Amino acid sequence: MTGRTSARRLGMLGESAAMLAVVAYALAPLAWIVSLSLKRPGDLNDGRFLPQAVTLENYRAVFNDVQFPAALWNSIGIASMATVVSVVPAAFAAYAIVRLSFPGRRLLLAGALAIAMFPPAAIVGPLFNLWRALGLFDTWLGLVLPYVSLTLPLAIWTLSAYFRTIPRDLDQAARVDGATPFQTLRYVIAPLAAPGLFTAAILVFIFAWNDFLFATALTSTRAARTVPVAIAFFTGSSQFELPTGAIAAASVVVTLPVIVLVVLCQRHIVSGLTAGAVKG
Amino acid sequence: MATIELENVSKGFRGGTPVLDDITLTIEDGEFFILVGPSGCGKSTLLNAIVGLEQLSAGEIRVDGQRVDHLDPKDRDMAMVFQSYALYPHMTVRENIAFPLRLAGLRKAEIASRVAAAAEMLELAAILDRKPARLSGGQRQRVAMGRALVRKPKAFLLDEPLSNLDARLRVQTRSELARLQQRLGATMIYVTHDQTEAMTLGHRVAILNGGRIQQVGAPRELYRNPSNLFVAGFLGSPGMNLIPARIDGAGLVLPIGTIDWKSLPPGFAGRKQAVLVGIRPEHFHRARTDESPPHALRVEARAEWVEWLGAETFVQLGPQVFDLPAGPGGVGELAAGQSSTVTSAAPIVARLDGTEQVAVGSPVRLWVDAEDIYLFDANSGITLSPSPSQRT
Repeated sequence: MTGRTSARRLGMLGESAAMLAVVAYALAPLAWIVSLSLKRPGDLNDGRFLPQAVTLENYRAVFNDVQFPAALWNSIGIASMATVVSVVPAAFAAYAIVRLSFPGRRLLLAGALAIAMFPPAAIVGPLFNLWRALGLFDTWLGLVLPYVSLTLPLAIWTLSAYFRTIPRDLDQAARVDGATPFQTLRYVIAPLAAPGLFTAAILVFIFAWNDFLFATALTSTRAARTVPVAIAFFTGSSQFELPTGAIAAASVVVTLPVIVLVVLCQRHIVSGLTAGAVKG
Repeated sequence: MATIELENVSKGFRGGTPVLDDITLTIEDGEFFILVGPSGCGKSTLLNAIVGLEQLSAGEIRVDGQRVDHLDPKDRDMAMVFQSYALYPHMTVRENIAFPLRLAGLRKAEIASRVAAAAEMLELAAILDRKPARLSGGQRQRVAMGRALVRKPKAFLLDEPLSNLDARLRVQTRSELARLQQRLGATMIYVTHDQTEAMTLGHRVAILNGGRIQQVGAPRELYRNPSNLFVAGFLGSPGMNLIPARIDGAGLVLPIGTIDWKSLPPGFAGRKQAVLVGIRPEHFHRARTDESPPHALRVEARAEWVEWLGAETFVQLGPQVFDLPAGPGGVGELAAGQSSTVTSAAPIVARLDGTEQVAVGSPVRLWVDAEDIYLFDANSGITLSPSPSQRT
């Protein structure tokens, strides 16, 4: 073995060790929660990382709860709606910003960014009053609207960055081939911007899925209460018992859809989609 | 297929110099028409204006007598091949070619048969299910052609379609393109900066510079009878030699010799003016005893450099023989305004037969028939007419 290959092996070893450390750091809390969720109530404070006996009792409790399944349904519905309602208009807006030159284009982008930076906590109070007056309090729409408003700028920015990587010649070719602007977006631009669309969709979905602030302030019953809030409202079987196991189980349940979503979308988030379009 | 007329077409941006300046052209039905010029001359802009990707500032575009300049590209029924080919990377070759037909709402069977016909014509059948990323440059070029011709459009517009190919493939594709155009009888407008492509492909050629048409005509006509200095300098490789000179009492006085009055076209007698003399390299002949015609410019110069290419020999003549001052409005000034191909310091190049042997550094005696000498106004660059003879 020459010195060079051993040095390379050492480098690879170091790299692997560093990656392991990062993964362990990121996943340890998750593993801890999974472990907690599988423990029997009596073992919760045993200080062991692995449960002594595995039980699904906590999960059973969570799904037998009247609140939780409704909250899960609310979360799925509200987050999905917010994602669609945010990403579709964002795609149109981003396409227009990137491809058309109209006055105030930069202002629009800067304005969008400013909205994204706006502290949500500042608008929760007024929204509470407004929503009650408008009858939007404790409805799906009442949560979808603020989620869309806050994620739209992010989606526009993500998508315009993607659209910019698509050669303008492709738009022009499509127009000459007989496509309307909408058909160009539908058949040529959107398929090529799929990684961007999925990225934006995931970001919006996760924002809506994890939001606690709006969900806690703008809902009051299981008509619209989402999972993060529902978890906070968990109570133990007695006043003196912390529902730790149930909270852990609910947390695992609420994390799973996001993981599934990301894994599913990851296959679409590949680079090099535009290879072969021009030159080469 | 269609006749395309441009009338007073202009395109400019506020405060800027016009990109297209009052262009009037008629492209005949079934014609292979070339737009050629140096980069930035507006030729691609003109093509984009014809297809509808650029709006006009003024003027009209008509196809078979119908105004189209207000129409969207999709309603003009023209096909375009982009310099980059602009293939849709997420579609297979088959889907790429079928795309315009799909948009036109044709039935599936019709689409399939048309795609098959185009694929056969362009030898794409074997690669129909590949994506563009897996194609070679030549294959991509053919797919772009296929996507254009499958629609049977009124006209084909090609924007430097060969510039991304290597030299060998370019020559091959060039002749294929010419055959294809002949077979389809299609109206084609072809943009290039390459004068060889312009000369070999075009039925007619329009030479553009600075957004203006310099001259329109058959390649031979443009080469033989350029209307101005720009056209003369643009066509031909190596380019026309340009030498500052003046007309006075003695005749045409060049730094390398004098031509007497009798050889000059009528109408120059008695005039005194600064001119530019243009001599194409192939019009130099090696002087032997008593064989030059009566009206000839005789030159004796040092062979600064010799390039022997087998069939021909290029001889660079020493610049020191041409040391007459250019005078006001001389060639240097003109060159700046006209073309980068013309510079006052450019060496004079003579093209001799490959059998001629010239040693570097040795003196060489040449002659040029007065008939083959071009005269341009030293200030405007316009060909002084009539040219010595209408060359054919």
